[in-house]
Amino acid sequence: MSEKLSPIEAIKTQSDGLRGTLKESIDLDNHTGNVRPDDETLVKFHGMYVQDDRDRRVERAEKKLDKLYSFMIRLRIPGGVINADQWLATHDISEEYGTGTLKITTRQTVQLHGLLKHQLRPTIQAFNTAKLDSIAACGDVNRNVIVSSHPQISPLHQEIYQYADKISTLLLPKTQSYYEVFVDGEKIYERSSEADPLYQDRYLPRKFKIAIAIPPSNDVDVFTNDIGLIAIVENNQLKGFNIAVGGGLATTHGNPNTYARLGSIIGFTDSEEKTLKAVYEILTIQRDFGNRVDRKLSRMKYTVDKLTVEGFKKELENRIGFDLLPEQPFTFTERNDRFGWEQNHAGKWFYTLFVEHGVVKPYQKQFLYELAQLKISNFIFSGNQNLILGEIEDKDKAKADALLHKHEIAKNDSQLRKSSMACVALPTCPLALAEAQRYLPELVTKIEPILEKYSLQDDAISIRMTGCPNGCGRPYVAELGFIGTGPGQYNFMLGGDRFGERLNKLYKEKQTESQILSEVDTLLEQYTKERAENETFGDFSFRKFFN
Amino acid sequence: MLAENKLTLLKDLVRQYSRDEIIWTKGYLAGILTHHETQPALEAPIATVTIKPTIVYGTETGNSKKLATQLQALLKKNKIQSKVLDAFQYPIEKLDKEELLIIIMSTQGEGDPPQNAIKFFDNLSNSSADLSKTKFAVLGLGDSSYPLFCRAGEAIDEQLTRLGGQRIVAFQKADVDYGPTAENWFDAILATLQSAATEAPLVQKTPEKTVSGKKTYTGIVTQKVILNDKGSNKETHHIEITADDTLVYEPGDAIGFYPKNKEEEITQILSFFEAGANAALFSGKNIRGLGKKSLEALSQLFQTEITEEKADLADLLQKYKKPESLTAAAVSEVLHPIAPRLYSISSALEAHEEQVHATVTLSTFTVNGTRKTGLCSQFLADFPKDGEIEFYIHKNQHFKLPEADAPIIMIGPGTGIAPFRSFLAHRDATGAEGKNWLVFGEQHFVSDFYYQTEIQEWLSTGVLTKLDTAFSRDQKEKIYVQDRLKKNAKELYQWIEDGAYLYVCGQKNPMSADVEKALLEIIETGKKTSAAGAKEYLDALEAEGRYQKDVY
Repeated sequence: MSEKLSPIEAIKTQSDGLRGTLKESIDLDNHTGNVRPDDETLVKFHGMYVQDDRDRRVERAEKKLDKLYSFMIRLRIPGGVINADQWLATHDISEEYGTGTLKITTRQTVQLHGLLKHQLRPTIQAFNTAKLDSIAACGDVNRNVIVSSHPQISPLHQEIYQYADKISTLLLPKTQSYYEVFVDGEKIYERSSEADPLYQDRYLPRKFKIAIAIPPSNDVDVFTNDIGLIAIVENNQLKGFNIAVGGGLATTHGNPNTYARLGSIIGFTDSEEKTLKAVYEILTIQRDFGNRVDRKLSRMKYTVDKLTVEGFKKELENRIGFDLLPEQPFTFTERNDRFGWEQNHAGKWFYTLFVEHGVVKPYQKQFLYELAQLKISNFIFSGNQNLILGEIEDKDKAKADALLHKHEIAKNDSQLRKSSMACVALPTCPLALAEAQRYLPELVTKIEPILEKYSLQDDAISIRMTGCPNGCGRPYVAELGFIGTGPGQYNFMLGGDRFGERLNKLYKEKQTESQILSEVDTLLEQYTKERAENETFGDFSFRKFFN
Repeated sequence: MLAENKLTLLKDLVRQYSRDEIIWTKGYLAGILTHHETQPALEAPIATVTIKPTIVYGTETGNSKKLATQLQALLKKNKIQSKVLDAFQYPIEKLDKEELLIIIMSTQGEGDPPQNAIKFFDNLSNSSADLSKTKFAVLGLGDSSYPLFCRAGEAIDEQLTRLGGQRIVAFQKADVDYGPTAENWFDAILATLQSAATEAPLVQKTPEKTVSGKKTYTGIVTQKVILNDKGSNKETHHIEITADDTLVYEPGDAIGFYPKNKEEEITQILSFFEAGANAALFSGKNIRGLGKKSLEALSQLFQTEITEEKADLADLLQKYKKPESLTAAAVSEVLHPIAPRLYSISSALEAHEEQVHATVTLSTFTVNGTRKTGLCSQFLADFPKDGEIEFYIHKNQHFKLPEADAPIIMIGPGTGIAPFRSFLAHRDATGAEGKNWLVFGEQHFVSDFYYQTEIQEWLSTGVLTKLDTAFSRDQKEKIYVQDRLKKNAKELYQWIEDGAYLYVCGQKNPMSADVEKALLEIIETGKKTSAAGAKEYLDALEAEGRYQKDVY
């Protein structure tokens, strides 16, 4: 392999603080719904992806129309919490621009699809008015910081949740180009005032993800992140964080040098200052040592393995100027969301709403709109793509209940469905090789009778599907994982544990639906007959096939 | 040419020369030649490449397309006219007619062609065409981290060889950083074409021109597609007709169609008459929107007073009682034959061989609360693909392109774009050097941008100098073409001053009136004159033929 830098690197360094020719793309290029090729890379740093409706390509080409380009915009919401006014604004914006769909992502935020180029500025301006932005929601920077989202789990949730915001702010790019290009339209900042000691002008080699887990819940899949912080709580006091580095799931079909990796815990920090410092310097290590030649090998997991975990730790301690403390014990006992009503230590109520694959259905959207108008709750996106209506006072609970009832929100979905996750895939994701979000609900419907046959309908087996091996739906840490290889074909992954602490492995390659269903039938039969006491399906299949 | 003694002298001299000395001398002589008075007589004929390459690309992310247009631009710079096609638009039956086929194909996933190119790929794989007269070259794009790197391109190269094609440049694989590899490959193609041209005898093709009267042609509707996408309020048909006979027309001319009445409408009318009446009595007669004269004649035949000022025959038969004895033939007699309808031709012979294209919006209107459609646009909308159609060419001397190097400004919202597609295709195919500015408008960018992909090609190859679009319903305030003209007032005035020809095509009202108002304002400001002065200026342009309108 040549040692030439990836072409993306030059786009970044020559972008004049992520400005590129974005203004020209938007203002001058009236012949296309797309932006210029280099700007396609740059819009990601501003929280957007260019997509085109792949279902419409052939017919539009016959009509001599260009591809149906549109933009997906993803908000930056550290910790995933917005207030009722912000929900209303998001609702209104989604109705006015784009497809009307609100999609909750696996990183505790929400994205809108189908925005046309000329709608980008009005959309971002409207979000800006609501104090929401999409800065660094995509691109080779630190993405949305996520944190265990169930406030009822720990009285210290609020304190720990603050870290998401602090880390996000600490790691924001310094360029003001987002405001210049999309909000104000004028050059109001001098580049010299935008000096960025963290990202310099080259940013990171690749995307960067940070999650904070509050045991016993691993709803954030903490080990799949570049940095995983695990909160250690003793006697209702936050003691600090175990730090895990080098998690990441993306692989490339046919490229044996790529692999999924869970984060390795390298130690513990016991103060806010030290934790933030360690996080910051982990980014500078990745900035300096990460692979900028081959983007398929540029996530921090490869940097960690290149330096070795021990070597990485040494480099970090060198940079932060203090030694990490030994890892503290912790246990995860759940990963799914707790659906329905829960109450926290202060008596406030939280209602968790199941949103299949994060796509807010029209009746749910109407319910949420009416609830937001009451202004009795906030809105929390969970890492499992669900929505928590939080901080509801005891006196207001009845009002929320009335709306829940009116819109028939509490439906009886199977445990398998509630434990399912899928990425967007076709028709908009340019990387997708197969269906995911549009197809998994149907597959679950076909698996449900098999579960009933073996009386497993109450078993929360995790099932996840992605349209490509990049892992946005975290299929590598599911008990039943399906990774698209081509139209209607999936690699069947087996042996992951239930709480996200062990990767699954390839069980059968390129399976069609009928093969999947027959395999699942056989596997579940074996599970019911051969499982040990309290053994989850994931542990059972690991023991049977890979041990 | 040289006298015997001079030739001997020269040969002797050259024999003693080193290679470098010959090259130097060549330059020296060329220098003398440049200053020589009798230069034209001495000038050797420059070999021109007459081959017309077709560049076909298959792309998932746009890279192959980018390269295809880059190659087209390079060839054009060297006076080689080529056409670029998305693989999926490529008519496979034309394969053996190609002189030179250049394919740029990317590879997806496990060695597959891109989605848009699958049909092309399969058709080619199954083809048994004889390509012994076809030259070809294939460039594969891919990602070397995949095992079947550039497999789709490679497979095409192999298949073209199998079919007997002659490869002019070796198959080339290009990786993610394809730029330099592709450029080298392009240079190799260009060099091959140029050296082949110097060897080949110079053939000057002069197009045969025949004088045409109002001749009726027959042709086959070989392609028919609605240009609007889902969600549009419009239904605009792009119709391609391949003629049996040699077509003669120029950009700006119109095509005339002879619409026929719908069968169900005729059946309905016949139901009011004696059994056995012939449908042919009404198929070519005007039975809709009858005017004063026809109504008076019918009034006499019906022996009753008809109060309508405009009506359809079927509605009249429904409403008024006619004498039992009145025959279908008698009614048919007083009806006017259907007048042919004209549409601006949207093709150019230089670009669309043996074809004529029309761009027709289905016209809809309401009469007394009922939705009605235009006779001819409905007739064309319903006309089956592959059906045989009659038409004629209508010359339009008042809507013609100027000399090849004159700049033109084309204002054509809606189907007003039709003649300008013809203009641009003509200027593209003939390599006309004049600057071209197109102003187009419709309701929605996403669904109503007629000929968008062609316009994009013309922009990327530099045929189209400037494009302005006005999509009236994409934002709160409505924006029309005249608003775009005003926004570009300064530049527009400069173009006019520089000799640009102005063309307006489309609706007479309100569009062409609003455009004219805008033009007058722009001239008034630009020329720093009065309203009257501006009017005088525009009138003068019109008199010179520099302001031409085709409005309806």
